[in-house]
Amino acid sequence: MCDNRIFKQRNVDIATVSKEDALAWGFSGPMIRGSGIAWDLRKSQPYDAYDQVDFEVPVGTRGDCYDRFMVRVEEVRQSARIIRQCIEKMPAGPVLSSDRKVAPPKRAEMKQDMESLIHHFKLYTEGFHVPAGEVYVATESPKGEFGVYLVSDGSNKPYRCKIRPTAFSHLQAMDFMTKGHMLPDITAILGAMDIVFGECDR
Amino acid sequence: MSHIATAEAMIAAYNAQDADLYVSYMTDDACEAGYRGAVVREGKEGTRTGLAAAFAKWPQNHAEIREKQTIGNYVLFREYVTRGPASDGSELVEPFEVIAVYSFEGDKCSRVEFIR
Repeated sequence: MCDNRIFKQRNVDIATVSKEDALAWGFSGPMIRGSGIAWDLRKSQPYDAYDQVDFEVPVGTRGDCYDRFMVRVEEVRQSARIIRQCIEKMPAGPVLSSDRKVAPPKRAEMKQDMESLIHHFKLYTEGFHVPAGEVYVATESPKGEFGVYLVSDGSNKPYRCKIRPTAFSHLQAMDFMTKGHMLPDITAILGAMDIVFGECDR
Repeated sequence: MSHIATAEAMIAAYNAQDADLYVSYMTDDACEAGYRGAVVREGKEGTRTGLAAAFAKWPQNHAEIREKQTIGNYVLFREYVTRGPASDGSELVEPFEVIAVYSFEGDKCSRVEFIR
């Protein structure tokens, strides 16, 4: 499909975004990388095990819908590469914490062990108490920077929670990106943005 | 009658302050106890007299089921209990939450354990 004549006609040179505009609109993920900026939180602020695996950050050269699409295609390959490395390096052992205050017991355990049953009930009806304080954690999601700002007052419910979705900053550029284009180009522009409307305004 | 329906009926009887109806859902040797702790009310008769005394002391006593779960022979409730004013003039007890674990033998409740 990458070389399909019709597909290229519908995507190449459509909704071109320069590096400067990508920064000004607050783009992240394939939206900013498609414009030629190699910005990836997994490289700039590594978390989890991203500093232990090799992967490339693909970037576009023109900043159009085709570049954004091609960046996503290459990122699928890079993700598969990361997964293979993780499997090779994964140490033996459990994959879930055995601390029953924060991780649920297995269902089989619940049927045989009263403690497990009570831990499960407490965890799902009460959760756990988070120390007072605030934190912002951002991850490189497939669509861009996905961040959560959380304030705890020490209870088991967030005092404040603000989620930075990827789609909001991208969708706000819709007017800017569609100027001068045809109505049928909307499909390609929206598709290359990879918007999930339900997450825009949370 | 499912175990959870029986446990709910016990709470309904508890809120109606009907100790006889409450213990009718229990086995003869049933008891109420703190979880892994001391037995509070022993046997059907001990439970009946204990509850009757509590109801006399707190005529407005009420338990609300806030969460519930059942698995096998166990039913768990998260209950919110309000005692109300005591008839003997003793100090007001603040409302509290308690997890109650109802264990069943057959269709009867054999043990109720509380976690405060």
